[in-house]
Amino acid sequence: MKRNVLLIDCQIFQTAAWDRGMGKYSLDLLSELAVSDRIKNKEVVLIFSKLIQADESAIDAVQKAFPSAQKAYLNLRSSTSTAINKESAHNQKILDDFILKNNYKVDFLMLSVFQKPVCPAFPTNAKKFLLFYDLIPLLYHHRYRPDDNYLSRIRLLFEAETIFTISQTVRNDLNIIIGIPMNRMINIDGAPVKRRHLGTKKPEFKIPTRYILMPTGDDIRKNNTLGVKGFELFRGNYDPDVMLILTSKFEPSLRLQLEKISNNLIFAGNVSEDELSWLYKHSEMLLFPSEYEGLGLPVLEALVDDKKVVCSDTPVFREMSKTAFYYFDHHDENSIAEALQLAYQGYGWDQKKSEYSKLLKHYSWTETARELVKGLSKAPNHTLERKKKKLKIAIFAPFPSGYSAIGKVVAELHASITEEFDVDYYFEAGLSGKVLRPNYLHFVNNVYYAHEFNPSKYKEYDAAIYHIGNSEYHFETIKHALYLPGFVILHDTFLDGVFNELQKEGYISAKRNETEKLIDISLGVKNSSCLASIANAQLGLVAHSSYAQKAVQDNLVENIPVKLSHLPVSTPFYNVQEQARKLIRIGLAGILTERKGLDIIKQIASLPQFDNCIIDIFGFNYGQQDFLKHISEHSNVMVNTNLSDFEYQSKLKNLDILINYRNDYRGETSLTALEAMRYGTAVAVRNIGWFSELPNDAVVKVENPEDLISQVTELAQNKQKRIQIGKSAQKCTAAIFSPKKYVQDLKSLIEDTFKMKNNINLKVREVLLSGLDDDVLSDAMDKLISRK
Amino acid sequence: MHSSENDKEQIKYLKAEVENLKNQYLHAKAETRRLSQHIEHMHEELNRRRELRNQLKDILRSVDGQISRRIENLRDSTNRSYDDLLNDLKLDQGVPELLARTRVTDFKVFYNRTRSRQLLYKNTKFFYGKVRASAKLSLKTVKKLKKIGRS
Repeated sequence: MKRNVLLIDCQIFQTAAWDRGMGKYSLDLLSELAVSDRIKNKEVVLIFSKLIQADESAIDAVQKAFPSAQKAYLNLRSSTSTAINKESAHNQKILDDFILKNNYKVDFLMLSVFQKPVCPAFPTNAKKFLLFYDLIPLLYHHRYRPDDNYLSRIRLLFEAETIFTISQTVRNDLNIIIGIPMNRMINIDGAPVKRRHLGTKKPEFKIPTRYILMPTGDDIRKNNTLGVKGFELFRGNYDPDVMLILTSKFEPSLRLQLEKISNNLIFAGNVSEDELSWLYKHSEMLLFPSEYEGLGLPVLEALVDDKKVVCSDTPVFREMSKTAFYYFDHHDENSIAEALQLAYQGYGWDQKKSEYSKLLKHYSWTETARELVKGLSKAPNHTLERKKKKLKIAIFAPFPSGYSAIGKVVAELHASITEEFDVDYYFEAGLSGKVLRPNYLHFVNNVYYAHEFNPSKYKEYDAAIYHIGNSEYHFETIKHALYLPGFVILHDTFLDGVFNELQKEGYISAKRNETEKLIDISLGVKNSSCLASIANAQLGLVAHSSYAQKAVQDNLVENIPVKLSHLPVSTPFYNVQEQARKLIRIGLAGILTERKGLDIIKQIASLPQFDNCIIDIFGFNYGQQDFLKHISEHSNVMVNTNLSDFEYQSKLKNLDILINYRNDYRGETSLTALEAMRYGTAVAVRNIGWFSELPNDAVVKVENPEDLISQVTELAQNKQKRIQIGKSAQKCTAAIFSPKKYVQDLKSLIEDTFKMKNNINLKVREVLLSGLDDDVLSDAMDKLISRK
Repeated sequence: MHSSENDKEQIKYLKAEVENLKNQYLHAKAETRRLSQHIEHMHEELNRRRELRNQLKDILRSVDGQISRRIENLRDSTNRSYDDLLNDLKLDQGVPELLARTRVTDFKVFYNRTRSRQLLYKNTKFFYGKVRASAKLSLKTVKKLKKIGRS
């Protein structure tokens, strides 16, 4: 009989992170787990590596936190430089052997995924749980440049059956950026670090009479420069005696830079726990200007000592409370100074303070441990589900790292699509091969170049799925789609652009290109171009709108199913009302061209009724440099190009109104519109094609530019209407545009198609799979397709 | 008398000769008329054909021009709608046949282009680690399959 055991990977305590945020979080959580009713009587084994030298005091602390647990030191390897796949596979084997030897039935909890040099691995047969802190290196990849060692660890996020996140914000990030379905994640929050029992001790450096505490680190994300600038402005204007104490060690250059801004700083360095307690206790208030935090423990710690919290207006703090803190815009030193001033004057302080006890009740280790234990016991066993027999498919798409949004959609769909299919990816890089974001998918799944595909590879799959759009990122995909029948997912209905490029690049001849256009003329199609031969060569097609579905059907002379399935976009839990701010933000986002409404936003920027709004233009600039420079001269206009996905999403999130008005509609769907809708942003669209198919209560539909301006004017003035539309939009993306539904649609299309009797391309497929000699095969195709 | 009889004979012969010539003349005349009629007919035919050829040339030139213009339009202009293009050009190319022909050509071209290509693993070493290998067939299974194949 196997014994039920909870194995906890505790290698995090063998790393430098053990006495930082992550280590402290893990330690406090373990100590609370140790006394939890459900865990108390369970056999728990803490796993360490024999091969990593650890700080003895760290291991002692773990022992004290969880005295009833056994410890096991295994030969677990580590790595800091290259991809961890090799070490991870080795460590998996070690864990498997350990489990087999002890005859365990295992729940496995991994306390950290990304902490180097540990190479974490899940045992093969176990319920797999993972504690997740943040996705910062990927979110700010321009800054942190995540290497293979980091990216290869992302595999574990897909492998875990349940991911425990330390905040709803982190859960949302995983959902938005990686596409992990919400039902595979549980938010367990966190709590102030337990250090009261250690007492307090006055640090040895000279302490000023009055000081503001800024717990920080030597990291750009901590926003030290603007924090210090804001402090200095505040000090100059309101409180000339106050000093700023910064914790943590700094590089001499950064320290010098900060000292140039203010000579009223005290650099405390790394202080002990009891010293930190003392500093919190005796501070005037807490200043926390960080750009992003997974949870932001210092804010919670300030609550314990009833200290005023002056912090950046970011989702994770809004998630804690909309009103308990003095918020500022962390991009703006004046805003920081103003917030410090309000706190100094005690503006609304009694009200804010009264919220603290409720907050601390929620953010407690008991609550966090309870949620974790609940998650451990309730988690469904996805492993069994994952082992079920699935259809094997080859998916063709642009590289997720490139400029095409289709690649991004495919990567974000990975977690959902692999629940139903056994997937291999075939990617192509386009002509420019430019990279926009890191690609991790090849560490997670089989990935090949699209040009490696051929008729013999075709035979290995139940179906080939071709993502096709009108750009240079689909050459190989179109080539294969033209002669190896599969399922086309159509992202544009006008493909003349890519056909001309196919000719230029020598994939097809001029005559072939002209024939395609002659077919269009003969068919008399109006809402598509160069689609007929691709469409007629498939087993089935997926269109993202009724408009596109009809356009495809107009091209068909064969009996081929066209399924309407809505473009997938994940919908996080995001409260529109929590995010409402003073100034209205009206945005234009995506590919910045006149076709997409750049000229109209210019008009809006110059109208007096929008003087008090921020006009935020962001996305990809295709040769509109002068125009953008010119428009950014308006005082209320902000222009940002070349943003990371996270920055782009954060900006969409902060918009009150998004304008998505297509002057010239070409049968496309708008991912940006959907992404804004999922955050509850009110989107104004032109009443045409796919846009007119969106539910009437989820967007504002306009007929012409004049109509657009009057509707946007009304939206800007009517907060209630904006919120109403935003809520409907979120409901709409969650219900209609869900990735799970998209995958189910694709599955049913494939299954239904294979049951068809009169689909000629099924016969073509049969001939291709028949193993005929090449010459015979060619003749057979000729006869079959031409029906001779 | 002998000479007069000779003369008579001569006259008779000449008369017959005249008759013969007359017939020949009439025949030639008829033939000439027939031939001239034929020539006239041929001329007519020639003119008709010439006319037809010119007409055909005009049609071809016009269709050709229209197609090229439309292709140019389709390529470069998004201002003109398909309706505009189709109003002055109705082509019935027999779409199913045209599509079938295109598909067969595509098949032959692309099949031949890719069938001989081996998978280019050398550039994609990057993608192949332990993890992906585990998702593929194990060496043992491959050996087993090969054995079955041989037997």
